[in-house]
Amino acid sequence: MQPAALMGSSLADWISAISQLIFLVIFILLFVGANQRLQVYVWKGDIKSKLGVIEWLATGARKRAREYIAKNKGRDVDRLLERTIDFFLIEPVSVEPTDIIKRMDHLFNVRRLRFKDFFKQAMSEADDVTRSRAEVAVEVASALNYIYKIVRHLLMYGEKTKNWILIMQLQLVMPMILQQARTLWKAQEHFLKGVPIGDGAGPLVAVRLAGEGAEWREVDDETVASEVDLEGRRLIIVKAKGPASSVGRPGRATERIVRDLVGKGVKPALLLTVDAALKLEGEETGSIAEGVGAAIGDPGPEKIRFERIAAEYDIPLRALAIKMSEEEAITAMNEKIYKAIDKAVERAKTIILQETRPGDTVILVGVGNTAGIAQ
Amino acid sequence: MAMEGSMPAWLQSLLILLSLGAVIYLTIKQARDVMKLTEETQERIYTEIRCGSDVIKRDFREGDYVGAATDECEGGRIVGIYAVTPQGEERAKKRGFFSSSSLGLARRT
Repeated sequence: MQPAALMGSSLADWISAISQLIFLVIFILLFVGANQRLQVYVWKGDIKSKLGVIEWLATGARKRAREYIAKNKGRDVDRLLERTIDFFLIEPVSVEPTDIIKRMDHLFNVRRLRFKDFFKQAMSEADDVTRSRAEVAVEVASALNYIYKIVRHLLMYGEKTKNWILIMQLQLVMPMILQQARTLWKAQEHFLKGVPIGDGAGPLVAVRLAGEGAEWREVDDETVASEVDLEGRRLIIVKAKGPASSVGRPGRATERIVRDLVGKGVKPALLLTVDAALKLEGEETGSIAEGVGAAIGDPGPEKIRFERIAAEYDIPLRALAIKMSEEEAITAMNEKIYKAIDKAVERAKTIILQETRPGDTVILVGVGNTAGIAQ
Repeated sequence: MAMEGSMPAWLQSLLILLSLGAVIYLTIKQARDVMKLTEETQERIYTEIRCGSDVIKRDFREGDYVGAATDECEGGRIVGIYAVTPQGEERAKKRGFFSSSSLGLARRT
């Protein structure tokens, strides 16, 4: 036998023996659950890398909010952030539903006013629009901070209790969480610039229907209304007061307008709400759908006012939805949504003209955040 | 005889190397996907101004809002503001040759 062949054979035997040994060790480790431990280790690594990105976004959002407030002559900014970033709202008791809407409305109102007051004190020299942007910037920073803390909690709790199912579930939903965090980050940038967001589709439809030069009056807190004639119909248009970032009180304002009209002997013939609606995957952004009910993504207090007032006076309650994704709803209004505005205006006109007669009174409410959209 | 005996061992080594390569590739891909999430937004925001019967379009400037009067033309008023996102290849060109997308590592969305 040649020496080279002997050497080759010997090396091959060694590689084969080591491979078999490795295979045997892996086979034994399978029985003691080493594969699962390795899998959990990989999952944890993945979660930690994504958590790092969320932390970066949360810290960046806080820094961005801080810089904006400081730039606009905010005082004691660190203390303001300390008080507002972790500000929470405890939801009302729901096992006893009696007057839950009233309690919810009260709590939301207290939270809103408290928050506004914090910013009024810290940014007394700034105007309402600047203050509203600062508020949203802090709310976004607060949301990102909350996401970061929740993910970190779940990861640490999973590690502590060696709950690999919890870690697996967390790893599976991390891409979704990260996407949401990134959307919030983008939204903060757009809010601070004062760019209209996708959710502003409702108020923009209201503005287009009212036309240039329409006169607007404040009918409720941060909510305005205007009256125009639409082929013999008296059209009352309601929206949040812009260009500050606000959704106003559309339900309460509409209730007030209806009661005022009824008090004068005029019963509205139609109540039409226009709002951005979350599309399903596969649906086209900017597609328009119509239906019945109150188109408003409110947790309850505003929406129920539409339903109650419409039911009380037997007013047909109609809804017009402009479809978009969650990301599109809270970031800068994109071209598809913008182009859908004119279609929504035409559809609103069609509904009004087909379902009412000349001489009737119609109320149209453009629901949504009116950031960057004045009247 | 010696060569016949050594073939499966070399094949095993090759498989180990291939597995290692795949692990390294997937790790880099995952890291790039995470890095991509921190990239700045690429969209361009435009402002539309109605000047009489015409509508002109320009880049958004801070302070613009729908309904604002502007002196860029007589009786000018801002009627719309919206974002346009560069699509596909246009985005890839902006990122350069050695970007994650040009290397085929970008996540398809």
